Order: sequence, then structure tokens, then C-alpha cells
Amino acid sequence: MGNFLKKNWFVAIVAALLLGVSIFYIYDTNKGKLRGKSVNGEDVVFSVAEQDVTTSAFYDELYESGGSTLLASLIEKTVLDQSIETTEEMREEASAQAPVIRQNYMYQYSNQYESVLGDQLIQMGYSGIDDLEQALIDQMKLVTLQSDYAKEHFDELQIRNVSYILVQFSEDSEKTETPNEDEQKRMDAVDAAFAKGDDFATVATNHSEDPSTAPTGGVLGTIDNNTTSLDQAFLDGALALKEGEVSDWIYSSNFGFFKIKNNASTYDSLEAFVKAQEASTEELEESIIVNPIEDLVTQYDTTLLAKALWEKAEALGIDFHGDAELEERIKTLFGVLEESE
Amino acid sequence: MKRLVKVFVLLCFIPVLVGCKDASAQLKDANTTLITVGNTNITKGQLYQTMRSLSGETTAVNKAIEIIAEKEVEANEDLETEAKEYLKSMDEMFGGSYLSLIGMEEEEFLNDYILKLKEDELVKKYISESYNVLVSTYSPVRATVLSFTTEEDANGALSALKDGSMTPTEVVKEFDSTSTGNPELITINTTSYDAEATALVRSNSKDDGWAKVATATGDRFYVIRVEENDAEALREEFSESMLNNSTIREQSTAHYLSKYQFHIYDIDILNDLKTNNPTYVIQQ
Repeated sequence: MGNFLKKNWFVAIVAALLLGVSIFYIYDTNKGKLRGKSVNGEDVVFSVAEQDVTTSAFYDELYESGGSTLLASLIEKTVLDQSIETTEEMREEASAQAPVIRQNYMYQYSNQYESVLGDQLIQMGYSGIDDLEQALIDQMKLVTLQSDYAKEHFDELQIRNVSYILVQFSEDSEKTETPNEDEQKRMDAVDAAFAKGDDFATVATNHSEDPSTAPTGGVLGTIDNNTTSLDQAFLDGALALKEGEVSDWIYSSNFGFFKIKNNASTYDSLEAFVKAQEASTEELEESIIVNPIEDLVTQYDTTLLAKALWEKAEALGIDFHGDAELEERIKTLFGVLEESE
Repeated sequence: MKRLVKVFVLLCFIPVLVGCKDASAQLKDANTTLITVGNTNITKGQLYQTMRSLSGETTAVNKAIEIIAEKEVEANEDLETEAKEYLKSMDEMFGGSYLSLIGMEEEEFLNDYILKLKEDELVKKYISESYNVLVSTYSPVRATVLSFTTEEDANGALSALKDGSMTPTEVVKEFDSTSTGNPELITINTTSYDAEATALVRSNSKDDGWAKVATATGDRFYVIRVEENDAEALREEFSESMLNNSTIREQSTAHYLSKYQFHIYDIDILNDLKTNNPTYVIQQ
């Protein structure tokens, strides 16, 4: 060894120097790094009061405060990824919307906007703010999913497009089922217009006392039997009508007296009705929503989301790998527990 | 020679091979599938990453405080009684179905609630141990402060109070004051009165009786009396008021995390904590 070193002393010195530099480099690189800790083969997340909290214990803590809700969000994303194709139109729309969303958040939350928006996206099962466009695409997919569900369950949901004419209670009204003189006079004017031969849209425009729908010929939009945001008497009356029928006067203790028309209650007639409305837009003061089913799922029936997701998940095949408690929790979140039992 | 060359080359690669990263605590069974939907597995690791991103920092601190509270605060019957009484009151409010409404068993609920009470006891302990510092910082005084919009009203009130012909609650009605007439705890955090009033409250003693002060702008007049300014006499009242002070609670948390050497071994949680609650970061 000695002879060897004597012969190759220069190389030995360089090797020793290099070893020293390497050791220093390793030390210098690592000195600012966070060191990990393991106990019984498990990583430790933190320690306090001489107790180590491992990742499995930490997982349980995290799960207790909302883990199953997050899981439901992950299921939602997975269903969407596998069942609805991302179209170029969706990508373009998301790309256009994303800066607007960011700007709105910036306006509301100032410097914190990225953190706030990021947290909201994480809560929806995304990794953070970088997934904003994907989240927007998924929102569009959700509308598509719900619309498809609504079409498939059209009759069961009693989907229909309705119009109405409202005669409000007069100021001094007792608001009973029997209209007072003033209310009756206004209702008679409506009936007279119909007797004269005016169509529903014209009568609504001229006589309906609801300013939000009168300009559009009294068209409310597309509803179904889950549209509980509507006055119950109105909803019951609307659901009882066959396509094309106009109701008698319907008393509503909240508003007054309605005449309701079922404009369309099959998918084909619904499409035809909305197209006809578009064509006659210039005759009305305001335009009408183009896609009636999307109108329904985004405005009047927001209960379909969970059902649509679950139905699609079942069609794809959903497996809880024997965890009955998890299955029950997820089904409860989706509101389908009783249906499946 | 060849061997030396090999060693030489190997040494050149060591720095590259030993490029260490910050620690990130990983689940041992991260690849366990929780749910399969179609052709996609949702794994435990995926869920863990999402939960950790969302609430890792808060959960770590809360769990740490839970552990510390178990050490610092002994379980006692009073806590158990308070928890049971709370449950009873909630049950009465919800027609006997409170537990089923929140999806908990009785034992689980009581254990959780007792833990929350212990965490409050921890803050009380901190307040007690830091009492003198808190008194120096917040300067608590119990005083009656009556506010008037005219000097005439203030003078009339002052006169009536000094000669004892009226009580403070009578005076506020008689002389158009919006004050309650009741004594209250004033600290440096009290913002409901002008600076002139609070300065007089802090400078006066019980012996000074009723005194009057006007704001510099002359648009408001105060009649005040210091009821108590002895720190020990105010201990219970002041401590109670500090219990729900968010700054005090944060200080208490930071104090106990430091005392019990809270140390994080996950870089993401550590970075979040450094950003949002740097006083909770004990490690260098």
C-alpha cells in the first residue's frame, strides 16, 4: 500500500481532496433541509410532548373532519373523467372564463385571492389553483351529466315548459280563495282576452302582473316535479296539466291567482317550443334560454346532480372493497342510501 | 491505478446521488384502494394528499394542543358534569334527538366535549401563569363610563352622582345618555370610548370618585368613576374576558407548543405553518 501511494501520490491527494469536497457538499446541501423521522417503519408527521404522531394516526384525524366529503368530490371527478368527453369547446370556454374568475376573486380577496381560490379548489378535490381551468371544464361536464340524466328520466320527472299569467292580490285584499271585486275584474279581463281569440303569450304580455315574465309572453321556463322553489299551488297546478292545456284560475295564498299553460311536456315538443320561441324573439321584449334542459338543471332543479352522479357511478361500476361503513357514508352523502337498501 | 480511477469517478458522482430533499411524511399504505369507480382507483394516498393540503396545518396544531391539554389538565368531575349538562341542554333544544342529528354516540360526544373544555382550561392556565404580564399589557380597570353629547347634561349628571341623589342608571335616563350606567371592564382593547375617557379611567383611582372629561373636539363629554383597578381583585373578571380573546388564545397555543417542543417532520405542513402562523413554528 505504501509503495502504491508513493508511486501515485498525486492521484491519492486529488482523491482525498475530492472526498473532502464531497463530504462538505453533502453536509452543506443537507444542513438547511427538514429531516424526517420514522417510528416502527412509519413516517412521523409531528411530535409534541414526547409523543410521535404518525401518518396513519394523522390520516385518521384528517378523515374525521371531512374526509368522506372529499372522497365524494374525488368520486365526482372520477365519474366525470370517465363518462363525459372533454371537448375543444369546453377547453376554449374554460380558458376564456378562468381569467375572469381570477379577477373576481382578486377584487374580493385582494392579495389573498390565490390562497382562497386554491383552498376552494382543493376542497373540490383538485390540487390547487393550477387546476382552475380543469375545474371549469368539470362544471360544464356536470351540467351535461345532469342534462343527460334529466332526458333519460324525462317522464318520471314530469319535465315541462310552462307559461303563466298572474293576477296579484289587490292592496286591500283579504287574500282568500274568493277574489274581491277588483281582483275579479282583472281576472275577467284576462278571460275576455282569451275569449276574443288572443293566444296565451299575447294575453300574458298584456295582462300578467309579474314583470319578470310578462315581457316573454309569460314563459317561466322548464321545470319538473323537484322545482320546490316554486309556490306549491303553482307547481301542483302546472304538473297536473297535459301538454297544450291551460288551467283554470289557481289560487295561491302567496301571490294571487294564476293561469298556467303547459307549453310542452315531451322532449321533442320542448325542443320545438324553444326553437319557435327563438324564432319569434324579435316579437318579444326579451330573449329566451336556448337549451331548456340546461335551463332546468341549472336553475329549477338542482337536486339531480347527486342522483345523476350516482347513477353514472353505478353504471361504470363502483366498488368499496368491502368497507361497508364507507359505503354507507358515501351513499348518505349522495342521498341514495334508502334507494339502495 | 484502475481502481483509483474508479474510486475517483465514483467520488465525482456522490454529490449528485446525495441530493437530499426536505422530508415529506408519507402514508405507509398509500396505495391501498378505498374506492374503485370504473377503471380508476381512488387510493388512500390520494385522499391523504388532498386532506393534508386542505387542513394539514390546522389539524396538526389542533391535535398537538389536544395532546398537551391531556397532559396539563387533569380530568375531573366538574368537566364531566359540565359536558353532561351541555348535552342535556342541546337535547332539550332539539327535542331529544341532538345526538342522532349530529351522528354521534353519547360517550363519543362527551369525550369530545370534555376535550374542548380541557383546551379552554389550558388557556385559563396560560392566563393564570401570565397574569402579571397580561395586566401590564392590557391595563384592566373596572369603571362606570357615562357618555353625553352636551356639557350641560354631563354637568347635571356629575352633580347628581356626586351628591348621591341619583344612581348611574337613573342618571343616564335623566340626562339623555345612551350608556347603560353599569360598570364594565375597560382594557387597552376597549374602543367604544374616546381616548380622553379611557386615559382618565387609567389615570384615576377609586378615591377620585366621579370625574368629568371632554373630548378634544368638544363634541362628547364623559363622566367616569373607577370602581376597581387592583389586578388581583380583577383577576376572575379579567381572566374570563381574556379567555375568548383570539390574540391570547394564539399566544397560549404558541406558549404550550414551545413548552412541549412541537416539531414538524413534513415540509408542506411546516411551510403552511410558517406562512399562516409563524409563532407556532418552534423548530429552527
